[in-house]
Amino acid sequence: MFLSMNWISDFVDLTGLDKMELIRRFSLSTAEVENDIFHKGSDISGIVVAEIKEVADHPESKKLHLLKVDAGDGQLTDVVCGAPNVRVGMKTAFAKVGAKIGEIEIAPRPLAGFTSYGMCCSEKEIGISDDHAGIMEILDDAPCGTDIKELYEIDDIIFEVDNKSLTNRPDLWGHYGIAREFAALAGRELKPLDCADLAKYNSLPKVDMKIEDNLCQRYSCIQVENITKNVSPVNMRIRLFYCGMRGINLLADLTNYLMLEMGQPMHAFDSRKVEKLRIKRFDAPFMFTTLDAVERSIDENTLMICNDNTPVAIAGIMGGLDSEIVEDTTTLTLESATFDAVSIRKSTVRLAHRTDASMRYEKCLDPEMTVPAIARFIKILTDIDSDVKVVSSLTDEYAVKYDTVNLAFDKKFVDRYTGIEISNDTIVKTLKSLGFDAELSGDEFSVTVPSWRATKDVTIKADIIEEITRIYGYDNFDIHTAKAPLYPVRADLEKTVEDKVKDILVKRYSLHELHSYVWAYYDEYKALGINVEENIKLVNATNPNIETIRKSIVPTQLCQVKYNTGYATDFGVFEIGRVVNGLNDNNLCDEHKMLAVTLFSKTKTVEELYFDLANMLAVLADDIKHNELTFEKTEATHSYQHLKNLNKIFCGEKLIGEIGVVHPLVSKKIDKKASIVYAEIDMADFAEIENASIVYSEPSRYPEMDIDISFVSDMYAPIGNAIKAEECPLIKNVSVVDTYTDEAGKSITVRITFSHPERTLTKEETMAVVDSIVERLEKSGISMKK
Amino acid sequence: MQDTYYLENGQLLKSQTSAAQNAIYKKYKDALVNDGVPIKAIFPGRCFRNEATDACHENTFFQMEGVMVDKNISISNLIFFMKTMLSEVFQKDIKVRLRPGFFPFVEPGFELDISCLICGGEGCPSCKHSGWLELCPCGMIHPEVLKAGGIDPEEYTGFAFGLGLTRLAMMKYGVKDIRDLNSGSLRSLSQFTDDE
Repeated sequence: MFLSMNWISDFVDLTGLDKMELIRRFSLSTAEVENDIFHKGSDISGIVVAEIKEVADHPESKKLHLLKVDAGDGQLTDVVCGAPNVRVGMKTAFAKVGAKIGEIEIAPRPLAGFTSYGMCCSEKEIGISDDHAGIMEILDDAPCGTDIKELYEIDDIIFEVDNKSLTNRPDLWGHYGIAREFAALAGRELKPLDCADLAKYNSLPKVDMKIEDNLCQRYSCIQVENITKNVSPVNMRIRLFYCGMRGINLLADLTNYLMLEMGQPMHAFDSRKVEKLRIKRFDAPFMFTTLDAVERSIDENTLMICNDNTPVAIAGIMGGLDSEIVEDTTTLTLESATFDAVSIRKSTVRLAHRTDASMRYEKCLDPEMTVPAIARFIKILTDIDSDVKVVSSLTDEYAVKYDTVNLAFDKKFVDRYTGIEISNDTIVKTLKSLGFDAELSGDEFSVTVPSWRATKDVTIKADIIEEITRIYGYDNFDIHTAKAPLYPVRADLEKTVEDKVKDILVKRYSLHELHSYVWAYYDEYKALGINVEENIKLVNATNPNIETIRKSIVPTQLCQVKYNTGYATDFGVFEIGRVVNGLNDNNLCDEHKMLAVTLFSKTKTVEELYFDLANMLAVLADDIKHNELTFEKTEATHSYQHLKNLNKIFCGEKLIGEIGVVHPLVSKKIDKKASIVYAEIDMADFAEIENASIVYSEPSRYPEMDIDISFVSDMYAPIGNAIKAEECPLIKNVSVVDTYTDEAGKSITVRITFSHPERTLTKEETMAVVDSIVERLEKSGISMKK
Repeated sequence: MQDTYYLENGQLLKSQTSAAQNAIYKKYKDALVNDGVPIKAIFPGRCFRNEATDACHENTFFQMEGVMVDKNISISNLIFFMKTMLSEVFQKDIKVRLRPGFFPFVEPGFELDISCLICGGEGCPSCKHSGWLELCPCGMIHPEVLKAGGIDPEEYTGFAFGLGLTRLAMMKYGVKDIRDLNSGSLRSLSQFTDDE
């Protein structure tokens, strides 16, 4: 919204104050002012009122005329002018030699064989409208030579306030409300609005009007006739233009002017079309043509202004084409009303049609404003056109009153909220300057919120704090730290475990942490041959490609791996993120926070990579939980899993996730030659595992003995279990040192480390244990590699 | 709201981190009331907005929210805290200024501007020659929000602030396309090493 300092100054005397500084303070205390501030009129000078005394046709040009103008300097000036509307006796705006218009300085100029000593200007050239059809015609009485800036309010400061920052302030949608803020900030008096006394029309008949729907809170109207003037005063047109509106005709301009001045939208109907004004909704939808000649579909929720049963306007949004003021209109009915803000908002959304009026109504306008707006309208109208006759009494139905807001609080409350000392006097003065009724008795303030703030904005004590502090100025605050006792807080287990996992994976294994989306990207899954599994869906996704929430991070991670195959021959990625596994018993998403890790390698075999990953996870379990992992073969259930090489992961007794090789078809689509393995672990399950406490045992002073044995097997788990089953206290450690494949099939080499606390081991006693293990394994069909 | 993602069961993907305030108050209110332990919390979170994506718009991004609640937390404390915290974040002395701003979960609510990081307040193209950058919303926690969390607003006050974590990271590292961060592209992401 554009605002004019001249207009604001109608209501508050700002003489002697730095206007730019006031605007800056307004931006910090009230609503955000955009950076560009326009100094209107500053780029023109030397333009005066001049009368055209003679007009002669140019001998060679059909367009040009040779004029002699009286610019008030005691002689006639020769001017060559191309405007079509020149005529003898017409007064216009004349840029004399030496005048400036923007970058141009007017100088004598040869034009088609004649010299022009100045230029007659259009309104557009002066910058007061976009009319460039001809030169400006000055109808006001002013002697030739009068500087046009003295005649009209061309000099002005125009600033723009971001509409979004006014959402909660219905009172700031007109200059009068803005002026109230300036008055409070400047410590000056806000002048009352100059209004007509409507009481003198009380004896006149009332308008036949009735509110039949409580979505209309208040409806005020009055009838006038005999409007003889059609063109608005220049100063009014300038203000409207500076504020972004176009001059139309006196009545339209005046309703716009009132809206920009008071924030009250108004509408003028041809009285013949609204003999029985009724405000209501209809039972069935119908089509309606608004005054912009657009046919719109109106449904049963939209409040309408009607002539008995014929709709004539969409309440609060736009008038109808049929009831518009036309050339032969003699009597008009002026509407000033307030409607339910939510209903207007919803109607504009349904109609997809937002207007200057609806924008204001959506903010909960002050219902107390409808009558003063009419009184102000009549005052301005009769000042402009003294022939105008008011022909009805003010007709006003106030169906839904706003709730009066009274608030009480004490000085301590203000001190506690602000943290600084603001005096009782300042508090009362500030609130009064903003139109609040504020009184202090003893320690207690009692405040009545003015109607223009009470509809929505100021309802609780904390709102009052804002009023006091914003006018006080946040820049003026003495700022200090909060004082509070220091208490240690126990670290959150899951968060701590998460941080440790990330640290180990990044710092020890140089994995990359990635983030991915929580939904399945259909296209990307499809490209890898991964099914999008049935799961809860988004109902309103703008992109249908992302409807389904993921059940696992692994597929999205594989898509990311595919994207990065050119990055390096070997890399690993991980993510800790959320997945949803359908709905739980309470119909809520069964959410899980998962760790997913994928390793990609073009240099290692799948087996090597698998053991790398298993080892990595074992380190996580050992470092974070001092616990061991065990693996157990399981069936594939998802399209990305390898049918055979898939294991459940247990930490202690607890199932925490799975580790596996990516399905060969998926793997090939990612990269024909690379090995790809993945693991996924439920972080909450992992975090919950009890830390195995460290049991210290004195290291043996005697040498350890390593024995390597190879078994023909494609799985380590049975071997590990057989060694464990031996329950031999001499075994200190078991590790896989090699895997290889030959004509006998796949083999795994394990290294068993033996030691005795009190003596050197003999080969015989260790071999006895090894033999027992081999025997145990042979029974289950796994033979030793010879 | 139009830009929220709704799920079939009526749940939604959170569009801001403020929702967590309620859980935090409920969890720590007993310590606050019984033992006088002030609530000081900071909570980053993933947020989702249902909108078309481009270099400046993402449907999935991080925000961070902070709250402090105790018996005498004031606007003065809020300004001090924001100035101190932001000076730490940017590792230089930051000037802050508050303007009234309307956010439903705070009252009074503010828009916080910081002195332009590029020109230091002199005015440059980055700050549209105003010397200030609009950074984040903050304010005094709305009494109803405290009440809903089981904290008596007559006895306790608090402040809250929100930071666009993703936007802050973009500012800090000069990331021009917000989508890079969720792209999974190791060429982009491997540049963010652990020591920052």
